[in-house]
Amino acid sequence: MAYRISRNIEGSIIEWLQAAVDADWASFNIRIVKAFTQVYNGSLPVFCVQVITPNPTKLEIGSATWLRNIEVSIRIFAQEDGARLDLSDWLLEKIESSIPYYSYTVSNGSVSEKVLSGKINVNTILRDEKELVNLENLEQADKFRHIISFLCRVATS
Amino acid sequence: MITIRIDWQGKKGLDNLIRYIKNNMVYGEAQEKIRIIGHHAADNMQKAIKETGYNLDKLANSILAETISTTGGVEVGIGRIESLPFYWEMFNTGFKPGAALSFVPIGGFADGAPDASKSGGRWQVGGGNSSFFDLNINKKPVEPIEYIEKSMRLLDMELTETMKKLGEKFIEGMGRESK
Repeated sequence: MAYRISRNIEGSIIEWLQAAVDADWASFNIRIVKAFTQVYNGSLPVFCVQVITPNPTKLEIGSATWLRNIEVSIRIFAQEDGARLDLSDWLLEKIESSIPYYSYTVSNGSVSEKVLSGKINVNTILRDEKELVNLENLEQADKFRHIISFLCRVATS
Repeated sequence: MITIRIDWQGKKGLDNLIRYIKNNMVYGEAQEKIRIIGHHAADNMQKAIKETGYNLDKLANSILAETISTTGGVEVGIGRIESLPFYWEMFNTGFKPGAALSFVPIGGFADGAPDASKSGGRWQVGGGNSSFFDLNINKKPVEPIEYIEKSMRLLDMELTETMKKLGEKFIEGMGRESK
């Protein structure tokens, strides 16, 4: 089964982020997950990558083609506030450059083929802020959270 | 209906006056439409909260739209933080319930209220009614509802559509008057 655009973006971003984390934060044991509930099943820090697909619009008047602006949110769950700031600044710098876009084919639950088929370009940063300001009733994992969300488009090659 | 009759010498001056009145009519219409859009945003937040499996009626009912000002524009505020329950932000962004904040999912006791003198019935999830309890029962992470973000996406769409229509109206009026 071939993944469609949303899951391709999700997979591509996770793969790209994993490589970037391995290169820059190798000794920090940063986990990257895509399901919110997985955040709490392990150690901090964690990046949680989620893809949201807002309503598409038409590419132009008279066109049948949809213009897909895909919204991606990356939540950072840090162990302390300094780490939250460091990781969010680092991530923002990283997404300045385009992200490789892969088309995935999955067989029996695992990726059987991936083809580099374009680039993911970040168009607009929607949010770059600390989440959950009132820390009083929070568990440790939720105390130093940050969200970076953005709109992106795929430029296929 | 109000009818205004104007006697004016010189066509250019009269045209300018008519344009001024019509522009102000579009402006007034815009103010009212944007005020309504603000109220829709609050309705959309309430709807997003009520569609979840949690009994968050208290939160949903606290999110109200208020027209703060109509001078020189229109300003609509949604949800006064001081009147919202403290968990408004936690349910929007998702969280892991801990010792300080736990809850029971919506459900009920099949045989009515539990009897304190007996071992008690079993809480059944789904159906029935329950309130938001501060009980140490459910520790599963609460997924983000993102009711603010969902409402903002709809607000953006509605605002773009409305501004487009108002802009067309405004430009149409300008074109007619300048002939």
